[in-house]
Amino acid sequence: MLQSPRSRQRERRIERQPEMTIITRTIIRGLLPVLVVFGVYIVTYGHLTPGGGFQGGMILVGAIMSFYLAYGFNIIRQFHEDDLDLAEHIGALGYLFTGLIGIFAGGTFLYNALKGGPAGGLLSGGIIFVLNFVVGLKVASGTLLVLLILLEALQKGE
Amino acid sequence: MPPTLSAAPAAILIPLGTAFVMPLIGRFVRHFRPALCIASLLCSGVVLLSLGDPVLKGQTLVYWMSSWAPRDGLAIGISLSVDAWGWLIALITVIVGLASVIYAAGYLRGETGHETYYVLVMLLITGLIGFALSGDLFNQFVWLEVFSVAAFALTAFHPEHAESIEAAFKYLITNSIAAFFVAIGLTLLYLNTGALNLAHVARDFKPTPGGMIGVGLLVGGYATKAALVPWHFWLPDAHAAAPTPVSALFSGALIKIGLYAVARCVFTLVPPGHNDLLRTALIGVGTASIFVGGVQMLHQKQIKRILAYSSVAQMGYLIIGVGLGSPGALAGAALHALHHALVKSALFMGTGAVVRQTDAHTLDECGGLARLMPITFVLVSGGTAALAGMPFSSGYLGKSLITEAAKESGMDWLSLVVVGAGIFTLAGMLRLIWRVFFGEHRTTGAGGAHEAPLIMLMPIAALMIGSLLIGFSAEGMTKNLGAWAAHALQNRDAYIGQVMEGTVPPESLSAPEIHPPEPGDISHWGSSILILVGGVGMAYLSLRKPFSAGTLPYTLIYQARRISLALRLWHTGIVTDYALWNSVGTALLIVPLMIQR
Repeated sequence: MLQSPRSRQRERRIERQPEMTIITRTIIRGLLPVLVVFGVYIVTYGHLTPGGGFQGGMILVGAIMSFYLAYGFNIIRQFHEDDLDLAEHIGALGYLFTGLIGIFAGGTFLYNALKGGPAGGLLSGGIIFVLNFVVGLKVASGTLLVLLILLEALQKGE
Repeated sequence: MPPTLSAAPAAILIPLGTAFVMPLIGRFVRHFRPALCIASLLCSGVVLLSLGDPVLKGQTLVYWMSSWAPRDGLAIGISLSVDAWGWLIALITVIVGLASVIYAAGYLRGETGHETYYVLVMLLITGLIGFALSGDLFNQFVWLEVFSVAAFALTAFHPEHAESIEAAFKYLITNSIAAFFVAIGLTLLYLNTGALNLAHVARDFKPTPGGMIGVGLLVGGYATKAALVPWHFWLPDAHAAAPTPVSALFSGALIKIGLYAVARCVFTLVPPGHNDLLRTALIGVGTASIFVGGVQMLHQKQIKRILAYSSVAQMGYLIIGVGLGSPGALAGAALHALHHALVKSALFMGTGAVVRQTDAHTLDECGGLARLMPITFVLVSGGTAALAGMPFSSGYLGKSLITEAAKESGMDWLSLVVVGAGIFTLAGMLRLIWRVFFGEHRTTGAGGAHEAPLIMLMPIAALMIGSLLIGFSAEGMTKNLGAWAAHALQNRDAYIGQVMEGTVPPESLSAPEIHPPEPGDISHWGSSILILVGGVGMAYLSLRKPFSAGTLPYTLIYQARRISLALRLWHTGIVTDYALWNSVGTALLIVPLMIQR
């Protein structure tokens, strides 16, 4: 309904070229571990750098998407929608429970109940450290789920 | 700090947690999903009620997330600031949400996608409660996005109908523009004050051009949520296309949030002495909403569209109360918001039962249902009487309070507007009742219809009983609820002081004296009788066969039809037009703010 002729053309190109050249594939294969480590780093050091769960989660999705671009749709079929759905809800509930710990420990929602390490250190964030991880999980799985559904619709549309 | 305050976030967290938990345990609780929703909403309601005692004594309860209370006069933390005005709107949301979920348990029988439906409805309700309780402008924006996205998806809950997709698309575009206005307005306010907490922004607000444009954009964005003319175009489509329990939630709770936010901006954000022209402009907007909504009601063919345009008219009514700004008018607006939430959701559910049982969406398809669906008929008729503001109904209370306030402010012509609103509402609803419940069965679906299941009728009856209770306890409701809501909006300094410093100036904790007319006092029935006569007459004129050409009534009706045709042509159905009117309306709202800078 909303497709322009040009996007239909692009789809056909996707079909004809399920994966990119060996140059791209090799580069991406080398780059993937670096991207994943970078994403995890952004999540982990979210409270010390201008990063955080959301940004790190998006970088992780970007890593997986670059893999998809190089290797075609089949490579990300390994992610199942149900699993991603589950991971997303676990992330959301993790945030809620971390906040609830604050109510029991200090009286207010999201109260910093964990005593952190020295200022500037990895553990100095208290519960922000935990929150970054659950947010990263939710964002990465949620965004990947959306992209997966969109790509699947695109495959079916051909 | 009262002990119950530490539970305040639970009012938001319990429905939110339910929305997240539902997909995880969904396959085990397949038949208990509505029960789970009802339980969580009941918990949320209990938490709200436990806050009721201090709130309805004029206090503003402030809950600082993660204990980040303001230091050195800077509020950096995120707060829930609960005062009587926000508390009332949150309570309205919970009540309508409960009724809607119970109704949905019957309505969705035989349909698929239950899990998606309940998750989205819980997210919608969570967003609305969060918006009403939040004391942080940016968090309000986030909640606005949460409930808006849930509402877009719920509008398109029946993707197999093309009109659902179209309505959701229009809703998405117009309300995204509104959210954009809100975001830009927030940026300007942040530039102005360097703060995002509502009380902090209100304290440091300087009426510079940037700040005033920011307020104007905020009011314009929230007016889209409140569906005022000319921001109302999304509403009829969305209400008609959404499943009936969702329409009830939209009309009962979602557009009230727009009213809540507009009143907050006008009274708490803008310093006194700078908002008089804006309030006058809002009275104009309200009058336009009443006129457009009322006239559009009279020539709609779809059953739910008639009710949707009635909502536009009633929102105009409420915004007139906000525009008048006296204690009586604000109390009237608060009580009328409660009344409209109860009655309009009951009417949506009642007519939705007709639509579901007969599978007829337009007036031409049903008829003669009074004998087949007597309970629905009685409930819808009762709702109509309440909506038109007949004595002893809840509508009478808000109507008379706003009329009194208009007379005190020297705007006697507004009582004419109020009577006109009643006439249009009654005429439109009587036309609906006559075409749906009387006459011959026009289709086989209508002929074989039977009463809706009990689980769908119960919430309607409960809402109507609530409306009656409000109507009969007029004095108590005004004194204990309406006056405090007005007090919360008017005592700007008390709000700022309680959020920023945590102190309560004792002299600020006294409610204004407001005396509503007793419903049994016949000397005040004049306007109701006028509405009754006018409404029945207009309904008769719209239903009888045309007069013969050349006679005086024919000419008069012909001219009236021409005006209504012009209004109908204004609703082009093209989404770019609607987006344009959104922007034009917001730009016009900035003008009075800039003049009275």
